Amino acid sequence: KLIFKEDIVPRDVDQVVYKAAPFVVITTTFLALVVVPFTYGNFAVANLNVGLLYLLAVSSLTVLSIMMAGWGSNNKYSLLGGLRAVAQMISYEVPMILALMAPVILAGSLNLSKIVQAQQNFGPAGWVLWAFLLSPAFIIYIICGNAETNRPPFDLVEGESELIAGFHTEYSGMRFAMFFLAEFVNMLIVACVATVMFLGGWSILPPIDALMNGSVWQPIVGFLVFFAKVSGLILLFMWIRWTFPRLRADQLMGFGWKILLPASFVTLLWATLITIVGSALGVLS
Amino acid sequence: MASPVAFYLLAALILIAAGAVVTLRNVLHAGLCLIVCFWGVAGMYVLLDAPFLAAIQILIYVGAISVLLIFAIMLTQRISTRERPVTAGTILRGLVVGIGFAAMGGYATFNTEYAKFTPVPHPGSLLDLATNFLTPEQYLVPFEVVAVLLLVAMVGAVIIARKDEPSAGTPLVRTAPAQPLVVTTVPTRIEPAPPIPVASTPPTIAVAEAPKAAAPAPVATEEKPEASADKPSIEVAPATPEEAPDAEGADAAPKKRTRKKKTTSEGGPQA
Repeated sequence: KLIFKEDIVPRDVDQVVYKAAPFVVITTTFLALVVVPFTYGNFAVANLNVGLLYLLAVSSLTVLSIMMAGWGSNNKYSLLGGLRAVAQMISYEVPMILALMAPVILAGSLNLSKIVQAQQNFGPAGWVLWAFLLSPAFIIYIICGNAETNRPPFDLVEGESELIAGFHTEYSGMRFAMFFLAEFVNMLIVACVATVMFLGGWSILPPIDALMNGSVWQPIVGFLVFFAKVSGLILLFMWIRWTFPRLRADQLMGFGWKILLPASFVTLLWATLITIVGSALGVLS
Repeated sequence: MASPVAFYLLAALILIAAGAVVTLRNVLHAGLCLIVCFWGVAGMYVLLDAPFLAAIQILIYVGAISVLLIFAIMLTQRISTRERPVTAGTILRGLVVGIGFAAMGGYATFNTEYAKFTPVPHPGSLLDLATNFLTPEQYLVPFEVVAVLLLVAMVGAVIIARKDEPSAGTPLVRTAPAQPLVVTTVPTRIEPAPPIPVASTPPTIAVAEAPKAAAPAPVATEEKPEASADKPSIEVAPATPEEAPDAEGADAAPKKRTRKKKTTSEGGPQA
């Protein structure tokens, strides 16, 4: 529908920056999907050794496009929305990365496929035990992921009552649709990363996985399981969206720096403790 | 292996972007070109089979440093439209420095083995890196010292930022406790802003700065960076009067227009 709408470019915008911003946001968003392993056998476009780092690096570029949009629109609501977005995303990136480091410590790798395999080999309960042990990190990640994608209750970036629509006030037609699409793809990426890092990715349960080993259906079932988990998480995001009211800017920052950051440090220590104890008991390799 | 086509494409991208950084008049555009340049350098690392370095390059330089840079440019709105006159003297100075630096760098590059563009011998050297950093025989002590140094720098930055207002919240948000801080740094905003409690203003500063409210140009210009660091709101900018009507070209014109609009809407009662 948005393709057929008229694309209005306000007269006083910074032409280059204004027009480039939607393309930057779309490109950087889709770049992140490259390393996500969707099913068995390292089914990812690029099976990078530093997959998680790459993913974090690329997704941190979204900030840039929002800043470009906010500044290029030459509108004080857009600029304020852009500034808020940047402050929020930079603040919540720190606890998010620290929370993601907990499964990395446990798996001993930054490669997303290897992290999933580590969860498959994590005792008889597999990823269920993994998710249970790492549930604090998982909760922190879900909160930060919500904040990173600027979704409610962290959507002060586009708070209608005070900022009209934030950084994309001046965008219309397909350009707006690109921001809109990027937001939803970002949500999908957050859900994919949460699935890979905490919920076992394509793995069902170790006994069933062992039963299916070598079967032709294994990749297809893995794919379906992966997307069932991702859909569940997206449902959770929607649920959060319709449940909680929007935060205030100072509450948001205080929560991010004073609660989430120390909490994520604690989860990091907790993951280290699990790893040491697990290695001592011979449960973990 | 590094493909020559990819290498030359990336090299062209880096050089064009770097050239744009120094020639573009608009500081924000120059900052964005710097990001393109960093991005190209990350591509070079990928060609050299060093994906870890590439990811770190993007994460640190593109994702953090450049964003900080552009954030600063956006906050100090004035410098994004300032034009500096280009005279024969500036061109001459630029040429001397540029040619000298290029000669030095070129001489150093072509006389070392860095001129050879060869991939690292062990692809995926993340494990090697970690082992080198975290074994006591290798680089463990420098690594930890750098960590302590960064911590000291961070604590120092926090102390400097919070020197005059211990009760202020995080600097990037407009909060209720942060309001007195804004009042003290930009006193000319006391009258036009009704929500700010005047009672919280230190009386000494109000007395000292009151005469300058009529012609606050020098004071406001000096305090501008500090004020903008305290508060992201661009409302700070219009409170200070236009320094120089230097609008020139398409980039400067829109900025000037919005600023004038804001001045009439907010700074109106003041005048």
